[in-house]
Amino acid sequence: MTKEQNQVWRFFASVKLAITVIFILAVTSIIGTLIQQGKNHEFYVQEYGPELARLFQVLDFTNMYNSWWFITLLIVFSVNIIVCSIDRLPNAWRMVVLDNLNTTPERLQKMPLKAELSVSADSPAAAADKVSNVLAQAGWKAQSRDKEDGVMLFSQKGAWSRLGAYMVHTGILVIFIGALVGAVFGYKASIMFPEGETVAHVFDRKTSEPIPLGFEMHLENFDIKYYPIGMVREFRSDVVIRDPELNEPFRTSILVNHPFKHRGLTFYQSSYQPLSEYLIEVRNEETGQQRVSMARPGRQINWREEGLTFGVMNTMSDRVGRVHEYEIWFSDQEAEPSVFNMSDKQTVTVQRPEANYSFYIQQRYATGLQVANDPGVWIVYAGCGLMILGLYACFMVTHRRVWAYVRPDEKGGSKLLLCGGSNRNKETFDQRFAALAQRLRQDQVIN
Amino acid sequence: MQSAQLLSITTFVYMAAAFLYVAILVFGSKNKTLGLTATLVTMGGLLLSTMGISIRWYEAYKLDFGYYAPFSNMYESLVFFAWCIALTYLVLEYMYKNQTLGAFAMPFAFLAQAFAEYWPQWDQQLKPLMPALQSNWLIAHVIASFVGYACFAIAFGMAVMYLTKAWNVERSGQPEGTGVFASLPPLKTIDEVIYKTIFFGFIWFTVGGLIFGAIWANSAWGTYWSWDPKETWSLITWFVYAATLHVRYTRGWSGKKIAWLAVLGFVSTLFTYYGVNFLLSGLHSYA
Ligand code: HEM
Repeated sequence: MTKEQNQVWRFFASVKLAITVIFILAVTSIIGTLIQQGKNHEFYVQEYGPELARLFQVLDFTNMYNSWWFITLLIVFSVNIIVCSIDRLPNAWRMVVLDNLNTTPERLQKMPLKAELSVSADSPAAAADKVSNVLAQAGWKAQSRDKEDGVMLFSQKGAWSRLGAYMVHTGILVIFIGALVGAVFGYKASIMFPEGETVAHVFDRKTSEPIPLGFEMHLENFDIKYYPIGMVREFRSDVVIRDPELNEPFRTSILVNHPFKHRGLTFYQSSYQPLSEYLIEVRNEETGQQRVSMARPGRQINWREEGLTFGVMNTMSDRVGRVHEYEIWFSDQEAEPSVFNMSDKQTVTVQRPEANYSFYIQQRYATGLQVANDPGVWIVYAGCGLMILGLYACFMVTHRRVWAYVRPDEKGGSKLLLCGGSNRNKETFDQRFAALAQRLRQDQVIN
Repeated sequence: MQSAQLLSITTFVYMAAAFLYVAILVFGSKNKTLGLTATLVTMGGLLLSTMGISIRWYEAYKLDFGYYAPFSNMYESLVFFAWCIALTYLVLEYMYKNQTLGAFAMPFAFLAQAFAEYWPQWDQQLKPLMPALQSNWLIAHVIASFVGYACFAIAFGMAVMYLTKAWNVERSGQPEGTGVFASLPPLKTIDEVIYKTIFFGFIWFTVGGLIFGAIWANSAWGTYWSWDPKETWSLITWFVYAATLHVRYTRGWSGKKIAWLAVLGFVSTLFTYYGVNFLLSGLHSYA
């Protein structure tokens, strides 16, 4: 059974199928933008009623981009592109490598763009030399071949653009391969951990199983910066990486839009949580003695050496859980306890009969990081690159060809037949061709 | 002068340009002064808008916003959309040396700009960027997508031109139509402009909308594709134009059929640009 007779092959090689599949993909993709994806069953029951919810489940509309039927469509789409390319690439390739000098003067005569002029030279070889020079100056570097009664010159530009469509199609397939590689060999995970802690695992997003990192990540500090008008300017996690494969631990920061890459993993700043345990630093201003502690609201902290008891009585926080005011209780058993208000990251001096103490308080956060291991991403980007190049070739590059045939004429000189053609932008090429003919006509050396 | 003033004057300049081009259509393109005025007014509007956008950028810089790009909310993006339409149109006018196209292009620039200025819903205030938007990919992604959108808008205008003229030709039996329609370019030329603006827009949209968008998503969210409604609608739009180019290239479609596809494509574009933000929920913060 030859390819031509094979019905299945013909089916997958047809552009009708391509257009139909593209159209079906476009229409079905809409479904997933109207119905929220990936919620639990109760959500759909509440939103759409039990019957529709049931239907959505049967048709996989609630996770449609991963459903069997959508994946099937994508497979048909891919097979279509592959078969179609195998079917047609040889023809396109032939156009690229075509031996354009292997033609006859008779066939040149039939070309749509033609100009005839005479060249003052004794032999066609000498005339061809002259013409070849002028062509080269005009940007058409020509190859030449001797024919029975003359010399044929040929020059072309943009022949590779004939492959544009195949580059685009291959690019799409390469993107799919990259996505597949990522799905099979990569994973997505996440981790949420508080300041001061160290982690060596992250948790798989689908299975929630821990995945060992192979190194440790210690969160020194999580910081939110604000613009004067109160909007968030920056989320930043300052971390220390301790990797047994490296001699020294190193510090780095993870910010939104500035992920951190290490050992094939990429860490993204994605969320945070204010903790209800605050960092308090108390320092005796006379002796310089200092103590750092973690305080929960309503719990007393004792610093026995100094005879101090203190704690956070109350906090006032905003919508997102950021504390803007603390109420502090501070006692040294000598006199009435001090009770005062202060704001976050402020240092105040507490005056006591025995000594003065500086008191610092800071809210603590846990940072939420997304972790991606996607070995396919560079394949995807390569596919995108190929697609861009192909699009450019497809639409912006024209395959232009120019032939010049020189033969002796009856009066002892030589005659030149100039012809050409292009596969698109015909008007532009017509003008270029006319200009080239004019240039040859007026050239001093030739006439 | 402040950017807000410049940009609100731009609205009136675009409106004048739109009227002038309609006048050219109605009174014929013989009148050289009218033609020249229309072009100059359009250039003036584009210049004003360019200044407005740049000054707005500078104002943000002076307010110490840190990283900023003047494409960060619906207001700014509409202003930039109008800017792209005006620029693309001027290029087209230069390429085709035909001013009747303007009556089907500049009204869109005016509408987009007026929509930006007068729709009560938009906040025109200069606001700093939230962390997810602080990326150079914002600039690349928005600029390239909007060149694409602008081309699609003009392709739509040309499609309307084609369809009305074709309708007139059929009714009148005159090969070049009657009245105003006779002064429009030949159907074959309009058809070519539709095709060219579509493929040119398609390249920009593919590179800017889909590819740059994916790269940015990967550096901000950790996945280059997450089937977010905005992404999905970009893909749907992309499919519509890909299908259009294929039927043109491999099945030889042209004329009315392609014009209708240009209309369909633009409806999808509008939904991608505008509808998604207000009707569907997703990760994209605005345009
Ligand atoms: C994104 C931009 C795309 C461009 C610029 C493009 C370009 C082209 C071009 C120029 C051809 C004609 C090739 C020839 O006649 O030798 C073609 C054919 C084809 N394209 Fe695409 N393509 C694109 C995307 C796609 C997609 C997404 C599909 C998905 C199914 C596809 C499927 C096909 C098929 C099946 C043909 C073969 C037509 C035939 O055999 O007659 N293309 N494409």
